[in-house]
Amino acid sequence: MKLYNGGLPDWIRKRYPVLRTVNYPKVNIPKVFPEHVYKNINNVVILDIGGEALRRIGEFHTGDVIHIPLDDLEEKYTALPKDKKIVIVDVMGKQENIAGRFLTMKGYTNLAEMAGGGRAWFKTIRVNEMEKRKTGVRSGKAEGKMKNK
Amino acid sequence: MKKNSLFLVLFSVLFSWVGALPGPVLAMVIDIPTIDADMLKYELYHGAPMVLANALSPIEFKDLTIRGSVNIPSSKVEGNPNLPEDKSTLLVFFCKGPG
Repeated sequence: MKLYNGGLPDWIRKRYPVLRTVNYPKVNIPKVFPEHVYKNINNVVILDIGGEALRRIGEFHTGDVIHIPLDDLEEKYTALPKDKKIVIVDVMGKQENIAGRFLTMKGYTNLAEMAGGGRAWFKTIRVNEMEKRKTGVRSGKAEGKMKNK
Repeated sequence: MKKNSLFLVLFSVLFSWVGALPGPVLAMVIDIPTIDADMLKYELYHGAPMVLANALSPIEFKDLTIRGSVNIPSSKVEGNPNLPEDKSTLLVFFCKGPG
């Protein structure tokens, strides 16, 4: 067994023969900031295409999430709703575009890519939950003071 | 004891063909020889039989791949029908490269 470390980009740079069997539409899938997604969590479906790699760096416990690794998307994309905005998330935000182009070809029009990928999303969840806890503690203290009075 | 168990696990995985691990992951564990573009092109189009495996997803594979490659996604290596039956056949993995 051997590895071709240069990979596809290196092969293309050298103008060696390549093959395209499907022409996915060239569309610009808009990017949305994780903070915006968090604030509108009830109006979106999060599509996790990162699989195991994404699960290793964080947990999706916020919002309506559908887990379909990119390797399986071609077979399982019909599980996605067409009446809600779908926000695509992978580990670093590098595979979201090809997933979006594939879904566009399959008739999905309300798509977005999570800016910064899963890392940014998990950070946003952490920050907001921490903020909520702080606010909860503050209001709890305030309630306590009111009762004492 | 723990060290021995770890070694046994690694040993069994590495020596059972490519096992459940894709090439790039294996490369982090042991030194897998590499091949450059020019040599690969020669081997692929003029050399002995070989299997050139694109480890990306089927969607990415159909979008663009090296002419003559087959798709063996990194999560679907084990038992993949595109793996060569003859285990002595040269198998070369590639994906999107570094970065």
